[in-house]
Amino acid sequence: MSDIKALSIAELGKAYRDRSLSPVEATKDALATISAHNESLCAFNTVVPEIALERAAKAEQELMSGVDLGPMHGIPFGAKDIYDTAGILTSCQSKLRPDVIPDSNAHSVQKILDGGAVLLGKCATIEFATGGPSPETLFPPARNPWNTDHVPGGSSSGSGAAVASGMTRMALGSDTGGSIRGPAAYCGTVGIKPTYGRVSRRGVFPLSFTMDHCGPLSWSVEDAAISLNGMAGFDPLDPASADVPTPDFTANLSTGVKGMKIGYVANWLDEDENTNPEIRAAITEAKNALRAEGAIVEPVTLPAHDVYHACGRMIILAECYAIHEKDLMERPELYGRPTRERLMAGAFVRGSDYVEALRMRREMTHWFNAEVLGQYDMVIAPATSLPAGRFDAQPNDPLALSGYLTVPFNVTGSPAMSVCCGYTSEGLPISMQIVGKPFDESGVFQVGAAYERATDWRSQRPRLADGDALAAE
Amino acid sequence: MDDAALKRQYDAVVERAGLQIPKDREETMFNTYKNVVSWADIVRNRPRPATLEPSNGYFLETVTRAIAASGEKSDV
Repeated sequence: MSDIKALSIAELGKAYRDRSLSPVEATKDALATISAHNESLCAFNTVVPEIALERAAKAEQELMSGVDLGPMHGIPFGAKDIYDTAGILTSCQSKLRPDVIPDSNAHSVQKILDGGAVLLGKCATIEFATGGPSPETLFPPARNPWNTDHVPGGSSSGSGAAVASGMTRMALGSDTGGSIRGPAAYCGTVGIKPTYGRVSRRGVFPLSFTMDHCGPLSWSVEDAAISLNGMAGFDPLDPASADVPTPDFTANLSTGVKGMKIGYVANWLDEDENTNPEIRAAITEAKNALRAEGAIVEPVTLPAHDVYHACGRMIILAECYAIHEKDLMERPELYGRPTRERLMAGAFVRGSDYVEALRMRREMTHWFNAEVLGQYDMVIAPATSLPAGRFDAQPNDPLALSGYLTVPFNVTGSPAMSVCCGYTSEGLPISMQIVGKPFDESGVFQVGAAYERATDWRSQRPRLADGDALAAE
Repeated sequence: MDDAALKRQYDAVVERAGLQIPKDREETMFNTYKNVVSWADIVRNRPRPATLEPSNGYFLETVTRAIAASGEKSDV
């Protein structure tokens, strides 16, 4: 990995400002990395080198002339291919949208571009952000940089693969049942699903209106905080957007966790008979590391994961079916099978099932915030019960979870972030979630940064060879 | 409910929805139907007072603020 790729967003910004590096050099480096590895990783569906270099040159001129748009100025990034990008194909990975070129940017993309960032292109996703990896989609599925025989998770699969492989420091993702935190976990990156309403969903192709969250994947907690600073903010044109102040999410990164009360979700790994023992051990070590930093970590028992899953899944199925019903009737053959079958399952949900799931969500969210976060400053939980699975062992069940333990915090709308907490003996990443009170992303970043400082996981990256030969370290 | 009764339900739901399910995926989709039915049982198996509102409560303010922000007329 070149020296430029090893620089964080903050380090890159510092280098721009002391003129030891320019946005054009950093963008060229990112484009070269994509060019070298995208054939094997399929992390990007569309790359826009001309647009990127033009924006990088503009950023360079601005910074040289003293115009400073902030920490994202001149920083290259990618966007999941469900985010509208003006003049650039937004395919949702689907043969239903081979030529959809939006006129405008998604609200969050526009905010980041207004901050001077440089869009490299569109990252692969699972088709319409649901289903599983499929060879039938418009672009091939992204692969895991730690071992290309394994999936990178979904649905922000290309975003996870792009960040882990050093193609970009940050890529936008979306999370309806774990689609930021899952790929982050499987690819060993950071991925934050902010509080529902914190980031506008306008211009991002919906999967489930009341469960969709937008957020960044990045290599470090600090990069995630800087990125969220760039994309968060009230949008009156998104009915779910929350009109709340947007703090500086980097403010507490060095505060530490001494005296903080953290609840550990103790029951979910035990409920899954297939839980990987190395994940159990890694989570125990993570708890110990936080205790060593001065946090008080105690076990808490939440409702069974299956209960959250039933609630969340009923809502998602009903809402995504409403979105896709017409196309499922008129041109089902254009969907890849995993996505088509998962969407079809929405027809099995009755209207009253959906309403009951919505009512249940309100109860569960109230209970979690009043009872659990009434006692604890923060909660930690495993992100998955399994490491990334192999492409050749994908489940036949269109609604299979693949070990994700993420949907509970889509149900509650809580800010939740995946951070790497180890590696399996096969070299695949393991992650935990850090979950905060509504709109306390700063607290989530505070814990994540303290954990990151206390451990050495960020020093390991997938070893990428030129061309097709990749090997996990 | 036994599998035969569930299969009759499933067939009726699929027909009403107009879904086209290939023969070789029938068994998988029927199993998926059974999973959805089991999740429905979970969300229904709890006290459900009439006063408990759904969590997607409708707020007129989200409409008026959008009109104010965009200055556009409704396309409905």
